[in-house]
Amino acid sequence: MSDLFRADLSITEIGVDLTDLQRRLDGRELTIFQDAAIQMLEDTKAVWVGWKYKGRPPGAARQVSRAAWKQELQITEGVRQIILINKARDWRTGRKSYASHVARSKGSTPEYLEVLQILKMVNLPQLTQDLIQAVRDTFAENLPKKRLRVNKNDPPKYETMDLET
Amino acid sequence: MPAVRANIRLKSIDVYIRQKHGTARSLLPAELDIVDRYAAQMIRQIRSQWPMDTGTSWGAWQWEVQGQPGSASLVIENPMDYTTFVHPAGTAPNPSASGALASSYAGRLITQAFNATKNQMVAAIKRQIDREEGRRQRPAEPAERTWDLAERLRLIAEARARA
Repeated sequence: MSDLFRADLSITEIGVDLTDLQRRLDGRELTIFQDAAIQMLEDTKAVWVGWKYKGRPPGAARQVSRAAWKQELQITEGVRQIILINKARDWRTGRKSYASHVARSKGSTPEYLEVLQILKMVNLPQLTQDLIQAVRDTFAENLPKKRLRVNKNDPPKYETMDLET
Repeated sequence: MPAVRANIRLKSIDVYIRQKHGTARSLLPAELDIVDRYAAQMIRQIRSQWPMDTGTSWGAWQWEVQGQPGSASLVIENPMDYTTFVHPAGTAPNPSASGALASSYAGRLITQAFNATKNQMVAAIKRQIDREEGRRQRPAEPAERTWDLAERLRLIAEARARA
């Protein structure tokens, strides 16, 4: 990995172990999982405020790492995961990663670990309970087993489109 | 069969900020939250019509807001490298021989979700900009806060109450 991207975050620790469930999530399970994931993203961003921007000029970019939080869902096999990603880039150069270094003060715990603790303590138990109940309620055990797909190239080739409002 | 990325420039928001603020500035947290709320709505709409086999690309739909001064934008993307090929059973894959994203099923879903959302989203962001600019004279937040667990939980509870 390039040094430039070393501080990017891809948090894979939030998940519900459904290894015994051979099929992918389906129906109401998907709704529960998606809703919980979006709530976790909102909660992460709710905490990601109050930065001091010491020495930063008034017109320079702010809220860069807050805006950069995003997520992917793994609903297919094993531990079903809500993967939180932050690939914020330094406001001066637009190149250097730094998300995993963001902290309230020099030497304090990185903020993403504080957030992760809250998500595990507050959000995850409810998701686990709701999801397991939904799995019990879903009569779909005869759905075929699925395996996650992986890209042939990393990073993948993107095709882009531009919209405007 | 590449991955997809739609760059949605929020030009009308940049123009509005310049009008109200006098100069370009970053989107503020409450403004970012509104973009997030509508982006989540768009992703839900796309996922609700997305064909599912393994579910990998269903779960890979994501968004990111970029709120830098003068270049606010919303990026909707799916990093799975077969996304432009996905299409509902019984329909033809991307009709464009060149694989142009806009004509693929993914591109059409993104455009539909954007068209269904954009007017409400822009109006809501502008209302929030009005509120923020109206508060510019208020005293700043206290310089020192205690960043403990209770404070972080309080911020989450406040955000949930606003949503």
